[in-house]
Amino acid sequence: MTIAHAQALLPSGPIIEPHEPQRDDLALERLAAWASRRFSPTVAPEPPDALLLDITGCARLFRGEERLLRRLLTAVTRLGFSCRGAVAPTFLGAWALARFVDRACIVIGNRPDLIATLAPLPTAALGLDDHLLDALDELGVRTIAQLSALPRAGLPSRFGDALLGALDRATGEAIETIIPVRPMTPPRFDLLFDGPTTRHESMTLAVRRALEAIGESLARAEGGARRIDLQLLRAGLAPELIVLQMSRPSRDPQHLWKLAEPRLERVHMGDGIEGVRAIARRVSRLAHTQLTGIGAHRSARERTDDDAGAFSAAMDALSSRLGIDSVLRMEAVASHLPERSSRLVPMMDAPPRRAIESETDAAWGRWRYGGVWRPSMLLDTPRPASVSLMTPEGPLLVIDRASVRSCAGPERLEPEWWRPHHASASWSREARDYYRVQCADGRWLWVFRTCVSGKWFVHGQWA
Amino acid sequence: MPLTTGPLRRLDRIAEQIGRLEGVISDSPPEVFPTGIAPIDAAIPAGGLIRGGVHEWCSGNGGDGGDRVATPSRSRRSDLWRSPFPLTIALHLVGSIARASAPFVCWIGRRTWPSCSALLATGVPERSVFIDAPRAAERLWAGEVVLRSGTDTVVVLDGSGMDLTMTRRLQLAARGRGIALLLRSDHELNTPSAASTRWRVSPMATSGTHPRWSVELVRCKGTQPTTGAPRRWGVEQKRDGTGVVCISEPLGDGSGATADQTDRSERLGDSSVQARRSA
Repeated sequence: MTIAHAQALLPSGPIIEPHEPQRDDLALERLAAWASRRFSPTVAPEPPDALLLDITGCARLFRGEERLLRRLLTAVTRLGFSCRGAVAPTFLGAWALARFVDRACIVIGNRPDLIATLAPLPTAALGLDDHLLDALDELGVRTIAQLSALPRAGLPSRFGDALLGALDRATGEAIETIIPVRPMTPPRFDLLFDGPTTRHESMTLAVRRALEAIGESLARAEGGARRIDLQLLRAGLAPELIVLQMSRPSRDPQHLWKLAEPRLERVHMGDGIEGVRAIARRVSRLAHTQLTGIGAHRSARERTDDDAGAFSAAMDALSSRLGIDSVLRMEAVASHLPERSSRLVPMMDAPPRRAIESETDAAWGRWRYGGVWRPSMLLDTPRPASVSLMTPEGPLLVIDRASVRSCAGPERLEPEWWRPHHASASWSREARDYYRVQCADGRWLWVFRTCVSGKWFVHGQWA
Repeated sequence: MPLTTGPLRRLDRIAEQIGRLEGVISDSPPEVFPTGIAPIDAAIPAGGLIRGGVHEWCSGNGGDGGDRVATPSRSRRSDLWRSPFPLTIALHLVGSIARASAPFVCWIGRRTWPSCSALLATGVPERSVFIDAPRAAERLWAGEVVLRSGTDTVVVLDGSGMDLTMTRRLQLAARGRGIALLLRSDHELNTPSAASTRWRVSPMATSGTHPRWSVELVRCKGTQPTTGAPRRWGVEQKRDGTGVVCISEPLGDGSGATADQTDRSERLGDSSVQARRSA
């Protein structure tokens, strides 16, 4: 079916998204990591759309295999997926049952039952290649029962090892292996006091020790934290959470302490602090660096790296005191409208992995369009202006009680009709005619008139 | 007064050495960034804006004396259009400093944030950071943190509501590798400050198609304020928007200035003397 056909069939229009198998795999892996924390420690993603769980010994925690399966299915459904599941003595058997038996929840306890249940299923339930299935189909072998009725000795020579291997794995004759996900446990450090304390010094000392310990374990793993959660366990109260965010991965205890210190001063201790817990929530790689002696020669690249490090340390300090939303960088947006052509995003959201210099250079370069001349200051929202004109369509005479000396334009900017704009202001939905207006005192304003409603606004100034 | 006797002279020398280490005394002349406007550079003894200094740029408001109320910088941009900071000049300066070295640029305070396309023309958008700090104390603190970070930085700071002590602190923080451009409004032109240079930028009427300003050197450390010859120049924005160019020899000698402008510059000449006296 073509997209046009689908659009014609669905009145609301289909949701079109590019097919990106890598992202699906990543999502499946995340789902596996999630399941491994809640249902069984051994979970393997089976691309494109299955999870294999080894629930040996886990079922009794959920009072039975069926209850476990139902809990799992409910939880996955709540995440927004539609899913089916099966419990069986073999992984491949469970995979086949979940896929080819039309029941949401199947539990098979032993091998004879499994073989009996698998028997009427089509051969595709063994997860075979298409050409094997075609070959079997030509022979008239359509179900697993028919397949197991064939003489075993002849199968490998006619169809290769894969077919017999799959059959044996499904029935439990052969050994199956899965590669479970191993979620990395974040570096963490707990320090519990003998009793609650309200002394500020004890708390700061404990936090320092926790940060040093985190720094050491990060150094062993050649990593740096981009986010550290500090929990102050309070007697009789919920733990006080302090989140330290870094614009670059860091494991320097001094730097981390500098970020934590001002935040600790404002902590409400309640009846006393019972302990301190530090968890490095987001960790990325941070290579070891060679220490240099005093006065040793250092390359220009190292100096640049140092500079960037010192600068981002300063930015971290600013963000932790002023708030993450107060330390921003500019991002180019593909839009010709002046108010949308850039946006400010928090420094902390800087993409960690990309080579920042080259990427943004390219992005900015694309928007360095020539010939367009914009004011040095734009208002956040255009300000309505009162004007008087010589004739209704004629030249501007007065704008906001300032007489106009000269006027250049218009430059018409059309609205972005390809974008839905539900909540945007009325002026942004119309085409606009922009004028550069010089007031009598020499100020240059950037003024526009909406084409339909004919209202005048001041949008910026060459300050 | 230098000490002359043996051990004390040695102490004197040690004190000088410590001063050198701390950067209070330095042998090399400070690094200078030319403004890129030749006649203006010639008027400053150093030949440009010195690194490690605070440079103050006040907006002239086209002689609108009634607008004396300080605008809180948290308020939305739309209220601020009446007395905007001289952003084009600031962008021009940042651009010329960025061509000499590759600094990080911090725009502290909402009122100093330039528009995206104007920033693009200077070529520093990817090294720019925008810091929103509504209160003067916070802006000062942010400026100090950045200037003391030990990297090449240009700090463009909203200087409204800063007194002498605060500018002094800023000057101390800038002493390393930073350079600070303090932007202020017209009505703060006479507040004492520790800045190395103080400028006044006011819009100038033109019959051309490009914005013009008159730039006036109100005060410069290390020179005597000469009341007779006002140091004013006309500048115009470049055709490609990347900066400004000088269009006139010093104004105020009757060549291009109106009587009103000359009048005002004389008044300012007096005020700069006052500022010097109080500083």
